Amino acid sequence: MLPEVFNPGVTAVSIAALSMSGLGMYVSRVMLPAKMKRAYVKSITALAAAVETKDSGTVGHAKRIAELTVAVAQIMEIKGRELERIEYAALLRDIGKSVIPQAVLAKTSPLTRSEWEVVKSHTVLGANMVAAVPFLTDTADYVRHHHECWDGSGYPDNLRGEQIPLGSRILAVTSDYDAMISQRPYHMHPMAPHRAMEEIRAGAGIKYDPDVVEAFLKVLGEGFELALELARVA
Amino acid sequence: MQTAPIAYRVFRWTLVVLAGLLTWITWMVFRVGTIPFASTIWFFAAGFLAELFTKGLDDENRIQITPSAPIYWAAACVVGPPLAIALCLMSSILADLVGLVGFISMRRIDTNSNGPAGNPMLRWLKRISKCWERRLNPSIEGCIWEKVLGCPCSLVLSIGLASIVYHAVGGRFLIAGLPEDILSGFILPFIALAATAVIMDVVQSAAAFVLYEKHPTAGGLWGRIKQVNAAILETELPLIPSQILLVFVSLMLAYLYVPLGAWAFVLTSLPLIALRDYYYQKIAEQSAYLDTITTLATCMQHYHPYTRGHLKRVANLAEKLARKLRLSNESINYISMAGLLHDIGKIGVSEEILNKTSTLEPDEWELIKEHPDKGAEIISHLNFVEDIADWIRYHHKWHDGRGYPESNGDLEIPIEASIIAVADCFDAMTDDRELSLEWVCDSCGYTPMNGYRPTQCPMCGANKRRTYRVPRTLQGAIDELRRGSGTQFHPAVVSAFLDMIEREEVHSDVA
Repeated sequence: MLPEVFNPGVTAVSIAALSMSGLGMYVSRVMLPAKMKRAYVKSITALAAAVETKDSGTVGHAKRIAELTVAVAQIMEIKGRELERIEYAALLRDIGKSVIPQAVLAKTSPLTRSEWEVVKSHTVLGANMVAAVPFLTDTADYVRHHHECWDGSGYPDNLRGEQIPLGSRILAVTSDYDAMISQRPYHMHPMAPHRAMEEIRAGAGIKYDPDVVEAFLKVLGEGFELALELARVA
Repeated sequence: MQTAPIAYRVFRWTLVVLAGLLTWITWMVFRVGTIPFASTIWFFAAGFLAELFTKGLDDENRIQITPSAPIYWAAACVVGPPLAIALCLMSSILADLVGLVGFISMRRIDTNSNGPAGNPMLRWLKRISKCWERRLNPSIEGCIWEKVLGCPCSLVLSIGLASIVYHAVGGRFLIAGLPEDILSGFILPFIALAATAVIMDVVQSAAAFVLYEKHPTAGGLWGRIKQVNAAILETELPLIPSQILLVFVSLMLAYLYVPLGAWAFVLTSLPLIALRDYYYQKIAEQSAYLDTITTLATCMQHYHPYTRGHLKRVANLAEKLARKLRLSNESINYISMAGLLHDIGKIGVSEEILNKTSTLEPDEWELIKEHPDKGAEIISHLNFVEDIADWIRYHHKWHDGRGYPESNGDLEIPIEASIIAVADCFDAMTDDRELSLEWVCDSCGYTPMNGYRPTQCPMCGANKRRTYRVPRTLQGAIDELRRGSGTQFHPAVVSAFLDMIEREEVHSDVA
C-alpha cells in the first residue's frame, strides 16, 4: 500500500506543499514584521528629528540615544517586546517638547520658576501623547519617568529607586550622557566623552541606578562610541 | 437603502437563467455513469468549509481571499463538469443558509445583550453572518431570491464553463486515474481551466459594476466601461501573484487527491492558511504603524489651539473630494490620513513664526517652506501602499509649477496633493478661528489663498509682502477658488469642489 501511494511524484508534490507553507509562515511571521518594524522606527526617528530641530537646532540625538539605550538594555539582558518598548520610548522621549513654546525651550538665560514648570511638563505631555496610541500605550510610562532620579529628586512624580521603571532608568543615563557631550543653546561647551562618563559614574546611586551605570560603562568601554562615530562618518 | 437599477436586476436574473441552462447542457452532454459519491462529498464538504472561511482583507471587504476557488477548480478536473457544478451549487447554498442563520441569530443577540465579546461560539457566528451579509449586500434593495441565487449561480457559470474548457482542450478527468501524458492530459488543460474561471469571475463582477451605476457618469456607458476597466486593473493586478499561487495549490490538490484521498485537503490547505496569515499580518502591522503616526500628529495639534479641528476638517473634505473624483479605493482610504498629516512637518517650526502677523524674515521663510518636505520625510518610510509622502510633499505646489518646495523640470503633481491643497485652503479661508493669516502683495495688492505665502509676488514679482487677518465669507472663498483654478489649483478638483458646495455637501463655519 505505502510504496504504491507514495510514488516519487506524490512525494515530491507533498514536500512542495509543505515547504511552501513553511516558507509562507516564515515570510509572514519573521521577515514581514522585521521589515515593517524597520520602516516604523525610521518614521518615528524622522518625527523625533522634526521635534529636535525645535528643541536644540540639531538633529540625530534621538537616533543616537535610541541606539545607545538599546545597547545598554541588551547588556542588561532585556529582549523581545520589552526591548522594542525601550527603543520606542528612547525615540519619543522628548515628543512632549513639540507642544512647548520654543521661546522657553531655547532660552539661554536662567528660566523662571513657571518656565521651568512648563519645561518639566514635557514628560507628562509626551506620555499622554504616546499613551493615546494603542500600539504604544505600554511605552508611555517610560516616557513619563525618564527624568526621575534614583534618590527621588527627579520629576514629575518624585519616584525613587526601583519604583522607576527600568526602561526609564536606562533612558535617564543615556539621554543625560548625550546632553552632556552635545552642544545646546543653553549649554555651549560640550564635555569630552570621558569627562561625561566620569560624571555618570559619580552619579551612580545618587541620580542613576548603579546597575544601569555599570552596564552603560560596559557598553562605552566596548568601543560603542567608536562604532557610533564610524556610523556618523559613513 | 439603495434601489438597484433595472439593468442590474435584469443582469442578475440573466445569470440565473444562464446558469440553469449550463447545468442542463452539461448534464445532457457529459453522461454520468456511476457517481463517485465519496469524492463528490469530500469536495463538497471542503468547499463548504472554505466558503465559511472567506473573509475580506480590508474593513469593507473589497478584496477577498476565497479559499474555496481552488477546491472547486480541482473538483472540476477530478469529478467532471456535472458533478462539479452540483457540488459547488450545494456547498455555496449551504454556506449561504448557515450565514443566514448566523445573521438572524446575531440580530437577536445584538439587540438583546451587549454583544458577542468573549464567547468564541458567538464570535464565530458573527463572522459567518458578516460573510453572508457581504455576499447578499443588504444595502442594495432587491428581491431576496435574486440575492440568494446570485452567488451560487455566478459560481456555477464560471466553474461549469471552466470545466468544459478543460475537457475541450484535452484534459482527462482524474477520477479515472492519472493520464499517461501528464502535461497535455492534465497540467496544461488545468491552467486553461483556472484561467477561464478567473476571467469569468472578473467579467461578471465588471458587468455588475458597470450596470450598477449609482451616479450618472460623464461619457455615458462607454465612459463607465473605461472607468471600470481602470478599477479592475487596479484591484486585480496586485492579486495576480496570489492567484498564481492559488492555481498552483489547486493543481497540487487535484494531483494528490487521487492517490491520497482526503489527506490531500489537509496537505494543500497549509499553503492557503499561510497565505491568509501573510495578508492578515501585513494589514495588521500596516494599520498599527499608520495609526501611531496619525494619533501622534492629532495629539500634537490638540495642543495648538490655532489648528484645532482644522486637520480633521481637511481630512474629511479631502476624502469627500476623492470620492467625488472617483479616485482609486486606496487613494480614498489613505487620503483622509494624508489630510490629517499634511502639516506634520510644522512640528519643527516654532509657534512664533507660524503665528507671526508681521513680515517674515527670509530665514523664517525658509523654515516654513521646509515643512512639506519634512512631513513627507516622516511619512515616507511608512507608505506601504500609495505615495502618501508625495501627496504631503506637494500640497503647497501650484498647479502651474509655482509654490514650494522648489522643483526643476516638469513635475507631475499627484491629484491627491491638489485635493489636499484645495481642502486646506478652503478650510483656512472659511474657518472663523482667531488667527487667519493672509498674504498680500504690497505693490499690486495680489492676494493668493490663505496659507500660501510666496517669497516673491507671483503677479508683479515684488519682494515685499505683508500678512494680516481677513475674515472671509463662503462666497469669498468660492470666488477665490475660482480665481485660482488652473493657476494655483487643479481645475478638475476645483470644479468638483464647487459642485459639492452647490449640492450642499460641504459645511463651513461662515455663511
